[in-house]
Amino acid sequence: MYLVTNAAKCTGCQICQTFCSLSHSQVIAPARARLLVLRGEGDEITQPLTCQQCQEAWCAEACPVDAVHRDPTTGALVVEEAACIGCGACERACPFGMVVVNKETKLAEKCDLCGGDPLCAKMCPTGAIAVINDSEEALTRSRQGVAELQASLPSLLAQITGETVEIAAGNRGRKKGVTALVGKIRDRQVARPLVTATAPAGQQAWGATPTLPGNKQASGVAVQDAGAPRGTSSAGNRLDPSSPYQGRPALPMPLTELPPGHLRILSSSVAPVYPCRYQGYAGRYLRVNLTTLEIKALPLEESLAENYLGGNGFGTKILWDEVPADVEPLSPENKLIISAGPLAGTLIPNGSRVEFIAKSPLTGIYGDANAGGFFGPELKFAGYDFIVLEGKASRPVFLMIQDDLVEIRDALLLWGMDTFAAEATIQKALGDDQIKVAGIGPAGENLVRFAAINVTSQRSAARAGLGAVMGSKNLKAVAVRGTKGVKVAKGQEFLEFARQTHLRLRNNEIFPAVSRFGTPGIAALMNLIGRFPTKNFQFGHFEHIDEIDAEALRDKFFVKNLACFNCPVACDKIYRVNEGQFAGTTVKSLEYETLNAFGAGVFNANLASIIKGNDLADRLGLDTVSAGRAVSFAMELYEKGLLTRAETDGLDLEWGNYETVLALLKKIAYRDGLGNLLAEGVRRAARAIGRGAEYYAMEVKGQELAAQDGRAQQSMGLAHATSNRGADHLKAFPTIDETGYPNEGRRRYGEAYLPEIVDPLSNKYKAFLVKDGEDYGAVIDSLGNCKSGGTFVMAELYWDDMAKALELASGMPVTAESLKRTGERIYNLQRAYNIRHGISRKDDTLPRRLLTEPSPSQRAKGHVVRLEVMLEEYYRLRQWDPATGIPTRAKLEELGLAFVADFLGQAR
Amino acid sequence: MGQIKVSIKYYNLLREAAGQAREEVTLTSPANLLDLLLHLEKQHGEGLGRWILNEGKEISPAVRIFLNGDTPGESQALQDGDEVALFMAISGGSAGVPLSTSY
Ligand code: SF4
Repeated sequence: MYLVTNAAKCTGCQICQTFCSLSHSQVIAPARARLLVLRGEGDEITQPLTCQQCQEAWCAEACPVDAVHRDPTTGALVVEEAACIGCGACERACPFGMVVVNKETKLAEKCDLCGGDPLCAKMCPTGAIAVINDSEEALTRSRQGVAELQASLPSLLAQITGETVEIAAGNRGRKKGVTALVGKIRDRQVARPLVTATAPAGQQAWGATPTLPGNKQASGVAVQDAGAPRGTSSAGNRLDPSSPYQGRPALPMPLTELPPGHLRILSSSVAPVYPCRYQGYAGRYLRVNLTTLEIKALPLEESLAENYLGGNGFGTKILWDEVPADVEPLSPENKLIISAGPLAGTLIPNGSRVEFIAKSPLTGIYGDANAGGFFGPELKFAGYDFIVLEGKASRPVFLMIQDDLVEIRDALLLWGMDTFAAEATIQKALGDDQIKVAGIGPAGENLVRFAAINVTSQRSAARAGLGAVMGSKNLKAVAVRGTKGVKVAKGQEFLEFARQTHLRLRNNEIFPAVSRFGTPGIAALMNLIGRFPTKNFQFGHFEHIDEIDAEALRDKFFVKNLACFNCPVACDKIYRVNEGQFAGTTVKSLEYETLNAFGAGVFNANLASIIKGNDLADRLGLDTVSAGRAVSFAMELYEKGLLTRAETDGLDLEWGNYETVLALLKKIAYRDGLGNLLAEGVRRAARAIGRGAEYYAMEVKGQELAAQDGRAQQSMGLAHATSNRGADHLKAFPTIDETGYPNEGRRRYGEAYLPEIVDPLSNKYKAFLVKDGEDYGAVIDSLGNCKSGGTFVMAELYWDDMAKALELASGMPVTAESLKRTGERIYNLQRAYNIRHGISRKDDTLPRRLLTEPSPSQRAKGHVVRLEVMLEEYYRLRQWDPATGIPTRAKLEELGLAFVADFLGQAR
Repeated sequence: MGQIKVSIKYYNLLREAAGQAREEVTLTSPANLLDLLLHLEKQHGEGLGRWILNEGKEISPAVRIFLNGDTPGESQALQDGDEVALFMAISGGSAGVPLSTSY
């Protein structure tokens, strides 16, 4: 038997590694897997590396006690544990880094082909690892594999690590550094003693400001004057618009040129490990006070896990407890919670997510943002469930976590850098490309109210302006590296259940299309039903859709598929512009929302410019949705004569002018001129402009609308109106009625709700659909799973599945019913938090345009959002007072939230 | 009885399976949507057929059909000059595993 790999098919999802590590090492940790996934060149290289089961086996030859034998049935080279003395000779001998001596057990670990049924191949969703069963062919392929690796590995590794190695012919490849290099890569994934910081014992006072050297490269890096105090108001933070964003080096400067003192440790702490009754959880969290530089690691309270799950739920409870109504979102008293759920970092597809929660500077109420990628799992692997960041540093800093070692480091060097450069600098400076970073760009530094947090690798926690909260705390980034892994309560059962969930996703009838086209795949379809906002929601249909839809994207710009952690879908793709004005621009994860925000929303049919806008927004650290809506708002005011050229800094705000779109993105991030106004969000900007501009501000509760025209899908109208973080499709995320999915309606809710529940233009049962989605969504955002994976976009995994997953992972008793109550609890607590901030029924509304201007587009023609009828039903189902929209005491008590009713002064 | 011409626009997987974005087909009237899909299967073979029809040669629940910009009933008769858009659904679907939770 032989495992044949195909790099071209690999998406870098690490499913092979997570399943391997749980099955062999009883812990979910890619670091402990018996195969590697090589990654490099901006993720353009993702390549599985498996044991070749070499015919002339270096490992077996090297073993002094003959502990490595060939299994006669499978042909695998297997380590006999009883014989192994842990000397490491095999590890040193293997030219491909495929044998590792476990430092705890002192036993050599390597691939044993799972005794004849390799799990990696079974679970790989793309066929990048496949099994050759025929023993003759296996022999040939193994020989070929060894020869090919010997030939290709040196240059591949050189590409990934930047270090060159040679391989002399005939020396079997090991002496010339290949072993060392694979070992190095492996080290980066495998548990090892990490860079031990020369940390001062306690905290260190702020030292003298390190001065930047006068060389050209460095002067382009730090935009902000090193000594300039930063005010708390937006105006006080304005940077010189001519500041050299353009001139800044795209790559971080070489380490040797780092000015002394930069990235230095200001405070450090070694976190103790706490026992936790529940698995799946790391069992501890961090509380970091940026004012005092104090770092505390504390045990996770079990009741918090039982009642609020994790992620979003934890953040909600902490905000409720610790951030009262009089706290300004951009003040040091606001807190930012970064929280991964109990299923983040596990095998349940796809546990890639991390939540950021704080009071939102955009809406002034509960705010959260969520990102996939690899940060959430890494936080868990380092051994933390969440981090509470409070106070405000007196100078730019970043938080660096390496397993138990936690440091606050100087970030003056990083301040002013774009998000990608900051991430790369941290990785390079600390010599570990596996560090995952969540950081802000210039927009967050300049307190743009819709600044995003950019997360490795190029995913954005974009909504609600939480990047500005980081900026207000002088916190450039949080970087994390974890090698511990996640343990689950019932390993074998969990593995089997997870395997089934993966297979169900892969058998889902819409999986092929979702996987191939990602979220852009829905653009043409939504355009056809009149749901694709065009010209700031004047229309729901963009006549040039063919130029910007998923098909155009795939035809002209597609490079490769890319997955978030443990996701079989791989809806991310690398896209590159190869010619013309924007040639060379490369993005990952260009989403439906961005296609709309920088495309139809502003009447722009130039797809290359949309890709450029996406890249720019990610680098600057902007939410593409709010940024796009801010631009389309300004364009409509210009069209209506409410903004004149005198007020646009000379920019031509004609619809479709993509140069203007790109220019405005920069102006917003640097708060320059018209950009400074738009950086406040459309609600504040409209108020400042007056003259009836408010009618064109497409927002709810202060947050800009995403790309769902509720006139074409009534449930989305309601979802935007009720969402706890202001306008948003993702809280309720109704998908079964987008294009009418009766099977799903039937499967989830039963025949009784058909056909209306899946009819996008019907109002019937939509309150029910939205409430269910909000509660379920609160659970998904709390567990650490993805809504674009199998829970919403593919309506595959539902209450029962997630209850079972949590129970098997944590060991906590969970049922679908108890999970529903938890979802409702979290959602009601968020609502109550908003009630404390003056939110009531009057705020659960939509822009007047959607309520009064009939849609001119497609099937939605003649329809407005009939909000009131849905809202009535919604409050009734929620058991909220229909007059005020406040949760009733009876409901709150039922959910274990009596303390909320007391706080709100509700009579007993 | 007579001949009608219908123009087809393919999207996502179907565009790849049909190897083209648009085409015009001639059908013998009366013809409904199922007749059209069966015709397309015959013309393009299994590569397209496996997406748009299920095993019982009925319209697949995962295919989305728009007739002149609207969603037609399955038995709706096609007219000369009709425009049909064909997509694979890209949200809301499942593997059909029954769920035990119901409301
Ligand atoms: S696609 Fe995923 S599972 Fe398959 S080899 Fe690549 S990382 Fe492993």
